[in-house]
Amino acid sequence: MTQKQQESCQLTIEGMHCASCIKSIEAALHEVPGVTNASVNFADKRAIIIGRAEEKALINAVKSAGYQAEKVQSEAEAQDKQEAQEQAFLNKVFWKMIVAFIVAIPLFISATIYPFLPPLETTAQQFVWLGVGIISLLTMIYSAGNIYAGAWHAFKSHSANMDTLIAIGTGAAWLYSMTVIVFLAVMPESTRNLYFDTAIMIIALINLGSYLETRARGKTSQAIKRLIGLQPKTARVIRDGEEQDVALEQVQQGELIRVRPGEKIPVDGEITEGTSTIDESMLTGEPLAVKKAIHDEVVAGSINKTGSFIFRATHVGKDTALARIVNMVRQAQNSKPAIGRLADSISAVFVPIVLIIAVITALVWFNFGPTPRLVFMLVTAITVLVIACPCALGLGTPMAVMVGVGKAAEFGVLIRNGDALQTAGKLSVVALDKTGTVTEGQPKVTDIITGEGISESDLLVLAASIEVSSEHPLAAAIVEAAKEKQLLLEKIEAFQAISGRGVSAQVNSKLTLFGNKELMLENNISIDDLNVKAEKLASLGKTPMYLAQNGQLAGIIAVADPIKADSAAAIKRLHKLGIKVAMLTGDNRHTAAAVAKQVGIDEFFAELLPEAKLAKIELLQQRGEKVGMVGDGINDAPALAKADVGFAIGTGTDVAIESADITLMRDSLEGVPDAIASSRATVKNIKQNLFFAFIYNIVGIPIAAGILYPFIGLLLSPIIASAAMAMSSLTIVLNANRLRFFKP
Amino acid sequence: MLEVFVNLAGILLIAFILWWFWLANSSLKKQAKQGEAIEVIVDGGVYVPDTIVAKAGDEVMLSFLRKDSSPCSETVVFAELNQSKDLPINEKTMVTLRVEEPGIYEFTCPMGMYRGKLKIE
Repeated sequence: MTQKQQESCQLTIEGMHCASCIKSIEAALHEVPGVTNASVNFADKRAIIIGRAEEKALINAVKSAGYQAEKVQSEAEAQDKQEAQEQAFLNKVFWKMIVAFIVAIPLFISATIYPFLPPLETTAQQFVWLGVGIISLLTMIYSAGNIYAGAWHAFKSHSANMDTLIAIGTGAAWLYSMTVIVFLAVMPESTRNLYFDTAIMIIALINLGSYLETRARGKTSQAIKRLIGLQPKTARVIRDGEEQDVALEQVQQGELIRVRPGEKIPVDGEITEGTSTIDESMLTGEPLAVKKAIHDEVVAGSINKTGSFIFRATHVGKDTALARIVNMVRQAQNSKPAIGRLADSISAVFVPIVLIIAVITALVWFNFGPTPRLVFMLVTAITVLVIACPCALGLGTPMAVMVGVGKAAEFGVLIRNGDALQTAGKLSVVALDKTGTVTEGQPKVTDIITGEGISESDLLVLAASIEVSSEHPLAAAIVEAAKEKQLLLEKIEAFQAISGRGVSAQVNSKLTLFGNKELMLENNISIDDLNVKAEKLASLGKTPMYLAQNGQLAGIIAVADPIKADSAAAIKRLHKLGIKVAMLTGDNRHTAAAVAKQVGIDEFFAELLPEAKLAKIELLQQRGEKVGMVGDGINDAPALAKADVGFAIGTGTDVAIESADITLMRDSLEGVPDAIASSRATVKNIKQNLFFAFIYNIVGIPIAAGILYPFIGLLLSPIIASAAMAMSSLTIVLNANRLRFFKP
Repeated sequence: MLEVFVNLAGILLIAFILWWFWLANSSLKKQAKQGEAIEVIVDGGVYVPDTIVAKAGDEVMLSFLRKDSSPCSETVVFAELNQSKDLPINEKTMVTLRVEEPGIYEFTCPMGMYRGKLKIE
């Protein structure tokens, strides 16, 4: 059997403790017939098996060696399966609802509008109604069997849930009606009421609510579906010199993959052949396509626009940036901010409390109510049970977090968990790191001012020719500027770096000096001609460097770290949100002041070492501010951790997305107001949901218990109560869905 | 006579609810052993077992088997541990945790209707 004819399979392994576990698992896998090779990676808990073997046999072999194994499946596969399961569930609920309505509607019409069913008086009529009772029971079993089973399961484990309330409510209605039919002769006439229509209508409405709610809930997870959908299902892998389409989960690290124009990039990697432009906007929110060539990195989920290229897979499966993003968004969507925990602790005891309220209601109506007492106590108790909606309490927070976190991800803002989401909305100060956050982080030549008898290009050639030998950070900017203009550099001799001053060298046998003001003054070179211009450049936060040849000043080249195009706009948006903006930088006061002025920063702290940045965050917190810190996630890690919310800003997927509370995928400050606005909108939505859920239950339950009956004679029908219940949770899902249309 | 009977039955019912749902302990408890997975069935609105006891620092492996088709049960959330996992129907899904701090950590469905406890001793 050749390598090409073989199939490979991957399993995730759980329960490994040490490297020796690898050997026993590999040995067990080799024992399975058809396996030609098996290797286990301890770090990513994964086994790669080559050969033709049954998946079940492989899993059993790992289990018999004392470990747990599961098949690796791609996110897309898992997503498809989940969608299919949800659809199957929806179909089931749909038919349960239809059957319940088919039975409930005639019963309801007969009971309220047109009594086509006979009254319950004679023995023959008893049999007719017994038949109705049996049909009702069969409908209840078909349409609500899961509810009764759920209630029983919960009861056995000493808990109670939504099912408990519905099961007791509808069960009591049916049992009472059957009692009336069977013991007709002994029941007082005023108590001979039948409630089959109520029981079945409640079930029909609950199923209707469940159907609509499930459909609406599907929309709340659209963001994650969109992210998963970015990855193709197969990759064109080059194996043994031949290209073949391989299922994504089977692609291995180090393999070469071909991507053609218009295709999605399947895994993370590095280009080995070809060039292209790649659209990473779906991942980072950055609208412009990026040029990529050999040695450039490509990320899974981005779209290849123009060229065809080959790349080597560096990260596959759950290690790709996209998989980590999907995982982080999913974890965050399922996390709970503090605001939701109150509702959680209430919903834990809610159902037993409602059960007690129902019993008390029944007793009050029995002892103090009008006749027929038995009927009133039954109806009010059932109404209390079916109006109470623990789901509304439980749904409010997770639905809003699900949509809010997903929506933020669409703007390239990854929120780590519910607490970060909630706190981000409360920030009063945002502290920004300067270099790489407010500015681009890469110094560039901004101004070239020439003296007499020299052109801009000649000046740049001279400066770059010397600086090419220098290791100073600003030197790179000068050389880069000359490269961009495609200038040819001169040969130099006797290069010398003068610490704290600049450099000197012989260019075309002329002594050339390039450096700061002090270098010029120490060499008795007059800078008077250009000094005013130089001072002006310095006041704008730029670093002017003087070039002199043969004792004469030739010109000035200014270098600065340019401010990002959208920094000022983002800071303006933060101000509009009522947030003060501070800047922390290791740079000198002069430059810091200039940058702060240009972008509208309220307060800045300059000449700070990384530890001092942390102290400034503490200082702001001591003033009573809620502080957000925006930095690059690596150098600013301590300050990010100390801040109430740490924002890591990074180009595309370079940043370690797990490190900060909020990660901004786009290299732009706009992500900060986006994140804060998303947070505020989500928390507002949660508050609306919880307010509605509390008010609904606080008002609904007493009305259902008949509290208004002594005053205005109002008593709710259990059918109205169950409709209200079904609609209450649907209202919350729909309200959470409104967040999908949010724009920061 | 009927009054006495109904009121007494009502009071006993309230006492039973209080006892059953608050005071009586869950009997569905399981002790985790290092290197062994505990199967947790997700069905009918509950986790069985609903209480898992493990030692601090041990690796706890929970193999969730979801039988319930309701979308409510499709994710298990360990809120305090910032962990969650989707549970496909009729498939075993492994959740591996290592908790260093003793305490009670709840695991729930996203809405908090299905509830279980991870007791770390």
